[in-house]
Amino acid sequence: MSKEVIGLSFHSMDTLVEVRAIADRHSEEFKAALQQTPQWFAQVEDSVSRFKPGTELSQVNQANGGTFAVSPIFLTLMEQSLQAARHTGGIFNPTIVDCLVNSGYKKSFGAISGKSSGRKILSVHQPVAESQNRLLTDCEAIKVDVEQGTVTLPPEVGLDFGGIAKGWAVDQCLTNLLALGKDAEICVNAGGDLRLYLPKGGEAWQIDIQNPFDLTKDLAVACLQAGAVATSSVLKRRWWSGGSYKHHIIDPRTGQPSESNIVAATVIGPTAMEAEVWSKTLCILGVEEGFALLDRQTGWAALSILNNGQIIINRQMEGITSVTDASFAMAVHIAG
Amino acid sequence: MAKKGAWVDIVLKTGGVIAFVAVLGALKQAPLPTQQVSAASQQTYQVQPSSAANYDNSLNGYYQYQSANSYANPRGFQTRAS
Repeated sequence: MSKEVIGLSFHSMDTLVEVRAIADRHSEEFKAALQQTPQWFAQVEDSVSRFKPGTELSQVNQANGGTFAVSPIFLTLMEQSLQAARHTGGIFNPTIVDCLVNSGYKKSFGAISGKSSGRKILSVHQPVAESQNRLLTDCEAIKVDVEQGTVTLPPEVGLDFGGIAKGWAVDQCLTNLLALGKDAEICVNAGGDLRLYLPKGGEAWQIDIQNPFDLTKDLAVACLQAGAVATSSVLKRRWWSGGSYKHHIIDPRTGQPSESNIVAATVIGPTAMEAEVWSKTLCILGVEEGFALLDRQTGWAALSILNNGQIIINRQMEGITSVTDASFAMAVHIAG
Repeated sequence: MAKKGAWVDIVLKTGGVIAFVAVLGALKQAPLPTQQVSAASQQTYQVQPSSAANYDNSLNGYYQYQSANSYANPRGFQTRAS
């Protein structure tokens, strides 16, 4: 079978998406499916973007609580977000939207303004325990009725699906393409969150890991047959507000941008959606607590870059990755 | 002698405080429980040198890879925060 490399790239969900496949030269059906991928991402964005006024998410957030009949996309992401919150002990939290707005992240990144959300927001002076309790309680108070296709939110609780929606869109995109081209090598890449597939015997995908301190360079490389990769960083999507830099990774225990010793984390595992959840969780918890929690799961490899420039990986990352920039030292985290 | 004894007492107490602070500082900066990685000896696959040429963010729309394309490795991507 003769293969060729084909691809498609487009802007969606506030990032550059690229789908690349090494596929049967004559599979017109596969090529047609590939060309449909922008519509899929647009569909997800139109449902759950919090920056577009007409989306389902925007309508839900403006309503100040209630029961909403939602689309299957919204319903699935709501369920997945709550599941991720449970797995991470509430560290991944879809209800931190007010904290994001409070920090200044009110519009899609490039268009941040000073307007208020109009809803109650967590005070920056609110005690940590109170903030945490409220956020975890907010998650537990959300009800999902799969049969009825409804989501019920308590008053004053808003949602932000953010990166989890992007990761899920990537996963679904690859699954859809695989149904038409099982012999194809496929990579779906949404702004650096990737899902990969390789038929047996194929040559591995090479994933360079960006240096968060110098975005023009990479610092490590990982080689994968399949799976997903996601990276989060507190040095990206930053803005100046209230006399200090803020970033978009909110620690739900404080309601403020996280201040752990990890500035960037790359996680490799089965799905892009979960990899996104864990990379964010590591950034919030820091290396000790974060790796301890991640290592209680199975099948997740992680690489974190600390604020002192050191690279720490877990056992699962050994053999997958190597440092390509000699100015960085890499060490393996030992649990306990 | 009593005067000398008082000085000794002060020196010993001050030294004790300094030592205590030093121990606290050392504990605070104790290295993480890690183990150094031995180069890339456990690498499973052949890795090409990292290069920005492996991915090309300027691509737009549908494309077919040609050997003359600017990016060298069709299996090369970059993970990054976005």
